Amino acid sequence: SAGFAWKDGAEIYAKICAYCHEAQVGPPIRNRELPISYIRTIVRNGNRAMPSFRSSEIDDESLTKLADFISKTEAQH
Amino acid sequence: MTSKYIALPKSVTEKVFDAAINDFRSVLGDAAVLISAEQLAPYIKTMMPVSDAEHAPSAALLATTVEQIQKIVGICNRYKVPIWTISTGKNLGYGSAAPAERGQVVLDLKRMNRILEVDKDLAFALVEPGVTYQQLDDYIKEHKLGLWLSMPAPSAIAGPVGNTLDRGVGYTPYGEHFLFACGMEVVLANGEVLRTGMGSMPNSNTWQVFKWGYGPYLDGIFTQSNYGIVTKFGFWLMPEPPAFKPFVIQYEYEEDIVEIVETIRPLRISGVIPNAVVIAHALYEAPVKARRSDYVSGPGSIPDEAVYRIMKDHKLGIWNVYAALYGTQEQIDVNWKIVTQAFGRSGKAKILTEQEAAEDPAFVYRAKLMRGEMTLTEFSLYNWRGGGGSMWFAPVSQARGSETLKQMALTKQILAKYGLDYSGEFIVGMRDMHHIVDVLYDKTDPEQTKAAYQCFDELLTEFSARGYGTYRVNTAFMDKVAETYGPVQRNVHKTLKKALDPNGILAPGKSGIR
Repeated sequence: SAGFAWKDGAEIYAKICAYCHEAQVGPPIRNRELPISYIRTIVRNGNRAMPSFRSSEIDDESLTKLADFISKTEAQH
Repeated sequence: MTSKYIALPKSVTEKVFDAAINDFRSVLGDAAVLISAEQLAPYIKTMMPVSDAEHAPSAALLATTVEQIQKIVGICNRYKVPIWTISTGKNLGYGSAAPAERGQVVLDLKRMNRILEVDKDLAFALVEPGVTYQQLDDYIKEHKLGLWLSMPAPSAIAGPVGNTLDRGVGYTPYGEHFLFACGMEVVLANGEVLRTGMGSMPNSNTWQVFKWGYGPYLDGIFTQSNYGIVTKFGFWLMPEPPAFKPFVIQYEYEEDIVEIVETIRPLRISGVIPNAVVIAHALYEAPVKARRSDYVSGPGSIPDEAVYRIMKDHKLGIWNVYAALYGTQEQIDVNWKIVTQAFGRSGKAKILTEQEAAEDPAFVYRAKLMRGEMTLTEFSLYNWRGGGGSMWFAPVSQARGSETLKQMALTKQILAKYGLDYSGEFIVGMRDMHHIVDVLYDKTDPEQTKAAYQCFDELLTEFSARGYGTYRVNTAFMDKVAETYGPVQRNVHKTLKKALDPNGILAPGKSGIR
């Protein structure tokens, strides 16, 4: 059987990013209109206190979905 | 002409490396052989106070099967190319995903991530190296298996194989991870596949239930070592208890650690408190609630006076003992009485349960860790100074009050000499302590980075001079720590290395073994 693969950007956000970025460890990143290219660069290179994430952890295609998810502004209710 | 590689393995020419890369590509496909600076960037970030160039890999290989790994070691032997194996690669503070030596090829097993078996009745798991605690936790919950994980603070993004192979620890009653390991599959440097324990026996169904097998017990030689590549790993899981009661006991003075440890030891050895208890200093817990810059600025370590203000402002003890009880409500009630009587005796302890501390962010994340629930809140440590500098200084101590105070005072004194803070905790085994100190510094500040390097070096020198050994260390200091354990042990390690890996292709430098 095949190994684990990510479903979508929301899943990656919930299972990795949110543990810091929704818990006052890292800054909030949603609803900030962060450019997709910036998100990709920070994820791959890390940034000071933030660790880097390899393509083996978040593959390029999934990272695009993740960056898209983060950069999108949540609908206002 | 500039090379197409960002680094080359030691003593390997570019031409020879070209040939090796071609062979790797034929085994794995082009997309799984990474050589560009952009692809390798995530492997280069470390938190160590050395230039990242010193630990830059030449390439990374993403393997997913045992057969691929067997072929990879064949190629490595042919061209004498050294490989540094990682599983989930989140060894933050110990070298992260970067190799011990510049130019080594990283064998990245993150994508080899199948959960092969989780047995509800016998309470064990068998997994591949790339499986994360998050993945396993999701699987257990989805299948309603009623089993709890034990994991280190990087929980969600780390994994049981890599953590246990570096003999990491967690915070539940199953916190001494290697103690609960049962059965490994290892690809040896010659390409053969070894299964340890009962796993070597054809048709055996006891690989994950009986550890020793027959003859010499080998699992230990594949931890903190470079004698093989672990491709499957079994370990025991704790059945979810009917009730769980986390609590924190706070003390006001640093000297109180003597009383704390003398009180805890009999409770731990007798099993009244069953989990890997933590005795965390105020500065270890403070980053969850406070910023260093709100209390001090300028050079030098934080003064005690400021630490006391943080304690007062944020309801911390100077020592914060996090522990838990597990079992039926009746069992917990009986043991709670024993615990509160023992800690209540001197009148110094402030005992808090979920009733009083449910809103406290430090208590909340500690309670999660003690029940195997994912949280990365402890990463706030890296915000204390910020700047991405962190090394774990982790000497072993007797679980004896006088010893812990001595180690704490010595650590604090050496850190202060270099302007750094004591962010420490003791993780309590039964008879031992992992004294864990986060040597935090701003890696973007060259002066502070240099000071941090010298500080860490002096910590190792002074502690080993007093007979205190380190249980685990970052890749920049592996040789130094290996030396502290003496020449005879080092020679035995070397003899085994020569016998099992004559070409020295497996992670040369790991634990000082070449």
